[in-house]
Amino acid sequence: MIKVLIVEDSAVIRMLLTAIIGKEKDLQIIGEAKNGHEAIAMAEALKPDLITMDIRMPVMDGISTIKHIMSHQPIPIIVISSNVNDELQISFNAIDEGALAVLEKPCAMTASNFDAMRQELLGTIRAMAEVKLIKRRIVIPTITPVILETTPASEDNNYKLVVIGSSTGGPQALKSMLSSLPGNFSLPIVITQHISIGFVEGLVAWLNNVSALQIKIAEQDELLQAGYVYFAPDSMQCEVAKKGSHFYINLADDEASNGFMPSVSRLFYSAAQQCEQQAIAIMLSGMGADGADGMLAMHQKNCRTIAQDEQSCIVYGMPKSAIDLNAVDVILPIDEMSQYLVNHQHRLN
Amino acid sequence: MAFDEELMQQLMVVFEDELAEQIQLITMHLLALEKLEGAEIATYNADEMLRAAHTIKGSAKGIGLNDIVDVTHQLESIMGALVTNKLNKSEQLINILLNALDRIQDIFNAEKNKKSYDFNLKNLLEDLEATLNNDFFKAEYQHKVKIDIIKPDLSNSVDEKELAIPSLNAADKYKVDNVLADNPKPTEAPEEQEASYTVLAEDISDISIISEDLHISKLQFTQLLTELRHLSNGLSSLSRDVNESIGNDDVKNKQAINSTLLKLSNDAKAMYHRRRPLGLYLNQQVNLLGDSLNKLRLVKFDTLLMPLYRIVRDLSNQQGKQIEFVIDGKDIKIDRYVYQYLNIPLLHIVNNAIDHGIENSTERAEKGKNLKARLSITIIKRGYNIIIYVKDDGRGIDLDKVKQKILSKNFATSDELALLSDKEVMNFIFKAGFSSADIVTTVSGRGVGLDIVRSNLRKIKGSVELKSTLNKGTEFIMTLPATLSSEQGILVKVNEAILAFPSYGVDWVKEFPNHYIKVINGKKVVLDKYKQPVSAFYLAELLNQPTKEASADGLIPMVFISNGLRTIALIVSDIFGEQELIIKAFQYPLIKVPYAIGMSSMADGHLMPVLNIEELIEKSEQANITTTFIENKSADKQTVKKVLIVDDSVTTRTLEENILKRQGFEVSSFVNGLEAWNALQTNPQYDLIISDIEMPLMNGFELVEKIKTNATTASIPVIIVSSLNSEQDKMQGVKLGASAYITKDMLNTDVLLTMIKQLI
Repeated sequence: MIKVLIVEDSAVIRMLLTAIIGKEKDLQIIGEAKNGHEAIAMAEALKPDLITMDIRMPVMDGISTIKHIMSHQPIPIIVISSNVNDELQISFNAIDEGALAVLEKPCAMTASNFDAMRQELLGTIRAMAEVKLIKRRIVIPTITPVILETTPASEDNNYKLVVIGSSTGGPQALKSMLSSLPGNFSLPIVITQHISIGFVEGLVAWLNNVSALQIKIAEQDELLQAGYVYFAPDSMQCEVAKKGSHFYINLADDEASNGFMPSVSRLFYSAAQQCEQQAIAIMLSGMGADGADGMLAMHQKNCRTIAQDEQSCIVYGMPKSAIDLNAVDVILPIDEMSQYLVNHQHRLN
Repeated sequence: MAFDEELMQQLMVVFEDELAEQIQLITMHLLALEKLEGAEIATYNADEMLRAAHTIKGSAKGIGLNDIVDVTHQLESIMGALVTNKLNKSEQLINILLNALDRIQDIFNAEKNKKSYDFNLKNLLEDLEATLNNDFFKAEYQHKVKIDIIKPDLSNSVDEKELAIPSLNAADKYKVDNVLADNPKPTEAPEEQEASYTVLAEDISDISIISEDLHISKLQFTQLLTELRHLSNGLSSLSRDVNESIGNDDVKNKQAINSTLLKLSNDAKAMYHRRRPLGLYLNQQVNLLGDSLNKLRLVKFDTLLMPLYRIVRDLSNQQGKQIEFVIDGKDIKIDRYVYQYLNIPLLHIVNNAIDHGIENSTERAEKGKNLKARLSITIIKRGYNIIIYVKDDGRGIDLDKVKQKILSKNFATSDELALLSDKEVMNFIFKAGFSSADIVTTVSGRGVGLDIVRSNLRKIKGSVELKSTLNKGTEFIMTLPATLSSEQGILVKVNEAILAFPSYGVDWVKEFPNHYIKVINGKKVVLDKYKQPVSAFYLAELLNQPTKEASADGLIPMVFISNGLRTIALIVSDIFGEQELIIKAFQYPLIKVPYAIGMSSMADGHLMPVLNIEELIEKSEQANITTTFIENKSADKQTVKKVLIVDDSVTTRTLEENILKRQGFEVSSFVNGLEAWNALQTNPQYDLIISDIEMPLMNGFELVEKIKTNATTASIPVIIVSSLNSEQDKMQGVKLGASAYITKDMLNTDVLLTMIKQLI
């Protein structure tokens, strides 16, 4: 039985969350707090397995609360917030303070995406409740990582592109990686991160603050250039296409893959097809198995395939699925990813 | 999870409260911002206001009320621009924002009642968006040389400061909604808040009902104890009787019977004594429970009074008056139930003060008064009472005008008037039928005239007093008990029925010998406890029941009841005594039971009606009531009033006819203005005319004009009842001489009768 504490100042949202979560047999709501102050007191008294946290609250806001809880008695925290304006930007700062995931506030029961939202919420709760926090704290560096040296280790490197897939726990891993890659890293990076609609801008802004690379949302037919990181936009499949010796972004809104849009598999499959052995694929922390089959395809085309190791993953699901398919060349902890990439980039002429 | 209807309903209920609360919060902040200028706005902590809008948006989205989401989104943008000085604060801008809040409430209400709202959402959204980009509202970032700053302590001194480009300095002080504080201290210092729960009023009502039932059980238990004691006493006296009656021959038998009886008596007594502590304890606990529940219903005054800020602001803006509105003593708590009866009187008095009391700036200047009028509500607690003072520094009440009105309405003769003190004259304002306006337009359900103030207060055992000085101002003083304790009632018997009077309405109870009742001009009169003559009636006849005449010898039980203004004496068959009353109000479908405010139960469980003091007194004032004795029924000698109805709709005619006939009016109806006019010319002896507007052959306006310009009919009051509800139509009706204008959607028995009582 997973014991959940809900922190949310709106009575209506509290009621909705309670209805969604309380209905599940393996989840139990042990308390509802209206502000950070109450949340801290209740967390101490009731010792929940997981906390859902609002950001904008009276008396004491979400960020301060997360900071306090994570520095005193860490408990898995999921931020449930709004994808609008200032709250959006702040939501990812919650991850800096130690929150595990950022999800969107529940939509109406009558909305078309209600079921999807509900599944994501419940799935994330179940996954996050099991995250071993001590482990996590060691892995995510709180100091700014050192930007690495640029010299490639070997001259035969012929990689032209890096593709990355990630889901729950992705933002933290990405931050660690992207903040330590040097500004002249020579490979363009394309990332498909599973995230609630409307949140990818906030993620991009948050990462831009810490990375020497330029991070943006991918646009149709965009030329892939060194020094840039491209994130798949909402509700689109993001793929790479090759024309001549250059690579471009191709966006398609045809159908979901593995239930996802954007799907990691779609990205990886396109890389397998278009780049053959010229791409490096990385599977980061995440639930489920999206991307595993795509990574296998890439592996079969002699691309370099890397999976994040269990130790440093918040959720080991996706990397494990790929490993189980024998699709993975190298398993690395997150803090060794950037060095590996740097070593394998091609030399800039 | 499939769409859950019940959950949806619960969400709507919770949202309704949340929405009201957040809207009120935003309103208060907007009103506060309205009083600030330039730099002060930038430093104003608008966190709570913006968060409130944010909460509304999130919750509305969670329920699927996307229209509200859209409007709130615009609202947020505009408010955000306002507090960062990108838009200029102005009365117009605040109005736009307040209006948006009203629209949000409208959308919710429509959704709740499953109707559609009556404005165009698209237009509203476009207007709001336009406001954001409108140059008219945009702040001008020029060298603003002089800025008037009004100090917040309302001493009305105006400082003029020169500020350099306010934007630059203000930028330093801009409140950045930056939640990334380095140290996690609370962003708003938590006041010593007591832990609080949100409870639905419904749930408290449910518990209150259970508590009330317990009260009844408690009473029944007490009754049981009493009966037990009686039993014990009865048994001992039986034992004594037996002792005396059985001869001394059968000693053994006698002793046996005696000892059995004694034993029974002692057992009964022992039972009584054993149970008595339980009875006392039960009494105490149930009373405590009741009190605790009452406390739950206590709300701080200022929560209840908050809507007044906006009302005063809107009214004063509409009428072009400058008003400083101050509320003092907000922390005093009051029972929510009590407040609902206080709400309308307060609203009415405030409305009155602004409409008729406070003058516009020109007039005030002429009188040498401050241009800004002062309206204050002060609440204090004194002993067991709460006293509310509503004071304005306006025109005051013109006693001469009041006296004129009294004479013209025949409330007193000029001789009687001469005997009255100024205070007594002033009190006439509270009489039904007294309205400060000469023309009465559509009754909006708020009650017309200050009589509503008195009658509402009476219901919560409160009273109101009035002080006024011509040209200096007026002060209303309302006194009411701070807590609702349970009611006490006087039980009486009328014929064979047992009825209860609520004690607050009973002045005196006394039995008189027959010759104390004098008959003057056919009316019975008796002296009350102040030796003042009051009219006496048989309670049975007021209740339209056959009356048993009191015997010539012996004492006649009488109950003196009062509504604060008039006292009458009621003759009953018997008076039982005083008892705690748990009054259960009538529920649907018994919405209006004549002469009763509810039912109560006696200790043995029987139900008895609790009488409506106000209605009884009103009934007694209606025309001359001659007693109808059981043996001989004489005809009522009421002067019957004649009413003329004209309307082309048979439905409306029938409705009006029914209402009037039931009240004893004689009704003649016509289908168009021409017919009505012809009838009037033949026989103008009508006391009242009720007319529609849209009719064939001659419409209502034409008819009214004819009536009012013709000497024989000009004095007949005319009420217009029409579906036309534009201000123009109302003005037209009034201009032509109508005394009142009721729109058809507002037409019901109460409205019509209230109006009629005022006019004839």
